Amino acid sequence: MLPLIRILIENIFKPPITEDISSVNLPKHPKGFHGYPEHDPTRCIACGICQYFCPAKVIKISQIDDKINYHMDLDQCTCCGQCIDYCPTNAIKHMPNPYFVTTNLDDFKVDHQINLIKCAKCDAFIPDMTLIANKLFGEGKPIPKHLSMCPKCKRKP
Amino acid sequence: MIFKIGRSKSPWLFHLNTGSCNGCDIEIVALLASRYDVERLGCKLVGSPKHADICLVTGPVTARSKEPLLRIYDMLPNPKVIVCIGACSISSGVFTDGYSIVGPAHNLIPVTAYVGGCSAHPKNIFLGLQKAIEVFKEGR
Repeated sequence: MLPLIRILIENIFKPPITEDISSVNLPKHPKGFHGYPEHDPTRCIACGICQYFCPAKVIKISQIDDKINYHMDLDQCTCCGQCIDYCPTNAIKHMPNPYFVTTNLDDFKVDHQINLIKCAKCDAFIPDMTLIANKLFGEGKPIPKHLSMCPKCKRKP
Repeated sequence: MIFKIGRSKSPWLFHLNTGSCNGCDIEIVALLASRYDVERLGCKLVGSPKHADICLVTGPVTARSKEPLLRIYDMLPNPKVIVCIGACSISSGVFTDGYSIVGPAHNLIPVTAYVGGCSAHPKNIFLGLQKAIEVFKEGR
């Protein structure tokens, strides 16, 4: 009985736990919060690992001539973070806040263009592998030949 | 005029579950509970769609819940304001192309605001309610 009275008296002097949500400035969320994925087209090498691991089929990668179209339907995204865990170049990051409210569904669609380079031997277009080469062999080292060729030219002796 | 002021100052909510996993429903309850208390701002959860101003829809529309959804939409008073909450409600989410899924709610009824997230944060739902209240203020 006594501890209960102590808690009751303490609660009189405590401030209310209700948060002020009428303010416009909403706070940012802590590090590691699972928000929507944010894609960086300059770091992406269009390997398609994110498309393979996405459980909700949010990511669609398609090639249009000399560019790759990276499409995301964020309205289907469940913020699981699989694409972020498996990305080899850290091209995708979590957004730091969960707020996403619109009156138009097109705001959820994200379209990014990734530039391609030409194969060293033929005219086929391949993604730039510089970031992967830097990760494997250290920065500043020359890029090996097999990373600058298309899969067809690689198989030729 | 009185209706317009009343609706924008204290909109009553009706919660409709069309096959949700209960995650978004819990977040709506969290919005009404003590931490994010919206009842102090006049929002009240009511049991009948005839008393409600805003309808909160959660979950992808399943074949079984299509008929109740359309019936409840007819029961709502004008202006009919629907707020879709969660990824499932916006675009069927992970249940897309399921055998029992009729489609996201915007294929069947007009929707005013979309609240993203899986499941949506209570503050995010509050921002969605603000968008819905803007409709009452405009007098659409």
